[in-house]
Amino acid sequence: MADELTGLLHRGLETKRQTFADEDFAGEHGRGVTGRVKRRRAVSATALGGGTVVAVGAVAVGAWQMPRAGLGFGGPGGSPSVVCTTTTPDAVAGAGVEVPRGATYVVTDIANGSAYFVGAMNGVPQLWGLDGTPYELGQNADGTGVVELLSGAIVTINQVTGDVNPADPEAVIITPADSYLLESTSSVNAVGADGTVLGHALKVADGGLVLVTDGKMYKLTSSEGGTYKYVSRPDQAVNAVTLVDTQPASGNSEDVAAPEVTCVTTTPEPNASASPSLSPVISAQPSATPDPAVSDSFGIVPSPFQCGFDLAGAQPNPAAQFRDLHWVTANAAETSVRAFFQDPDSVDFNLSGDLVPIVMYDFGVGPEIDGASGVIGPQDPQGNLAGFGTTDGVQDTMQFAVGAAYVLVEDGAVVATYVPDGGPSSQYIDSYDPDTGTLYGLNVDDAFTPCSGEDAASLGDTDLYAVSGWITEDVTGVHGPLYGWSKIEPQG
Amino acid sequence: MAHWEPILDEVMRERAPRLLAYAAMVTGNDAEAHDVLQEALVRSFSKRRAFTHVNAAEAYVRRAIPTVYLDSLRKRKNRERNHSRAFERDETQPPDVDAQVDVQRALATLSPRERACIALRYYDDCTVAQVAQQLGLAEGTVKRYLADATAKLAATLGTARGDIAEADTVPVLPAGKAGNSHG
Repeated sequence: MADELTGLLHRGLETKRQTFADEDFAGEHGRGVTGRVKRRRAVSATALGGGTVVAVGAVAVGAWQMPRAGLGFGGPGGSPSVVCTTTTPDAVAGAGVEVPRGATYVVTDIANGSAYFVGAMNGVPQLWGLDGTPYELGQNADGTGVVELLSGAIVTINQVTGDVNPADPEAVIITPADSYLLESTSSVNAVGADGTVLGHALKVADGGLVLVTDGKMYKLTSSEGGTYKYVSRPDQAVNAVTLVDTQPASGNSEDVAAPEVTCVTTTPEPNASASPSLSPVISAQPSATPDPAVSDSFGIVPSPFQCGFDLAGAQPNPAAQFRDLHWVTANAAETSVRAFFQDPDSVDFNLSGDLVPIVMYDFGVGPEIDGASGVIGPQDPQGNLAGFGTTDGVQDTMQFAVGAAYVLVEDGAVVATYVPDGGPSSQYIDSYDPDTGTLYGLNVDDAFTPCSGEDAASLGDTDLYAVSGWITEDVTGVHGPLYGWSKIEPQG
Repeated sequence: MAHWEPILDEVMRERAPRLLAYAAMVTGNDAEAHDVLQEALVRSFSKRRAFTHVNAAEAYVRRAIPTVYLDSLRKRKNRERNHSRAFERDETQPPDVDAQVDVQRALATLSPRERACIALRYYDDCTVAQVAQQLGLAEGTVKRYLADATAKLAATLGTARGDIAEADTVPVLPAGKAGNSHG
């Protein structure tokens, strides 16, 4: 009888329960479980929204995929080296930018500075990156478009007028697209305390000022002595700048566009003060810190890829900071990975987990360089130091080593690192079994190796960070490594 | 502290023994029960789900346990090169030495999927359709697991076949075998 079996199960369960009654499950596993929940919620909050919400960052996949043939993993579609197109001559947003047809506004996510063109064409809401790349955008039932910015801020776009309606006006900056172009190619530079040009300053719709740098915008507020200040994310550092009109008397536009900064800096330095920190240092000169270019040893520079690195006591370098960081569904990742393989049917995809990570950032490419080669992967770029500094300044095309990965951080320090098994597309893949042709998607639980050597379950209340770094070499010498990092903020 | 943390904490402090017992029933192994419960807790609280009371949270976690367990078996199967051996090992895993209760011993004779189906059907009182949805199986498959499982349990425990011949089930065992269940 069903009742009889049900009764047996309940009685058996009660008996069994008593055997567990003295266990301190919460004490033994509570910290680990809570930490895992936080990490997963952070992941979900980054990319999941309503059914029609599209995570803006999803389109950035292509840029990170672009150099993947040079990851050195030997995938079927790979080639031995990478030739990268350079970034625009001026890394400052605006130069060389054309407003996409149909774009009405630039929406900037105040939380992280990421900015996008939005608008409408033929009754369809539109979304573009600042480089003009069109992104697929979801629509509500009423036809309006919805964008969930990286911070979680929601913006709707009228499909006819292109008007923008932010759910929280305090969370975004709305700038008319035309004035964005006009102003950002104007001549007002924002100059840091050390004289470095950080970017352009421009007026926005509400009459305020923003700093445009590296494709991001930061709100400028008046400070003492005619200077301005802004808060850089995610470290919340307060930075002071001075606005300088550099309108050239000759009207030669090249004078305006020519960057004064080659985005070279020293290693991450402890930053105990709130002094200006967004300061890519022009450094053909040796810096005060050990210069990896002249070092014979590997790993002399502390980096966020390493166990124990104190993120709280250092400052991410904006030149190595992420332009975008987001997560895609396992299906989207699989689609992309399949495109990588010449014979995708030969691979058994097993991209477990709801989401897999994608990161994207711009690394320093000098304005005179039109090509570059190097390696990109989830490793610390310091691992390639030995290959740098050997050309005695005759390097006529840039070479680079770029790394981007994830770490877990507790009390400001790295407590677990991401050590992928490799594979043809490690930006997605935790491991690849060539014998069975199976790919395993990154799982935020088991993809990390605790620094303590203990099991991953021993990790407690940690924060999930994305870390990045790069080294370049050109005619002026070796630059870097530079490191950046971003916390994936828990929500919910 | 996020709103979900106090509920999670309460579930772990106050409901863990019962959930562990349930997980042990499903997995047939105390050590695995701990792993499965941890994963079920993580999975249940990781979604943007708002539990308003610990009872609801406990029920949700309990319902997640069979799914988590079967998922872990699938992953294990995929990751281990010798698929068949790994699976066989799991299915023949002896009951925990502490589990001297008859029903535990009887459950240990079942396959993992059979145990999961039995737990959901006869402990959680799910319908066959609900069990199928929960475990991602076809209803017909669930019926087969239930029929096989109840027959095994009947033989071990001396119970009836669980009276699986309900309106939403079909007999899948030879009539003679089913008829022996009272025996």
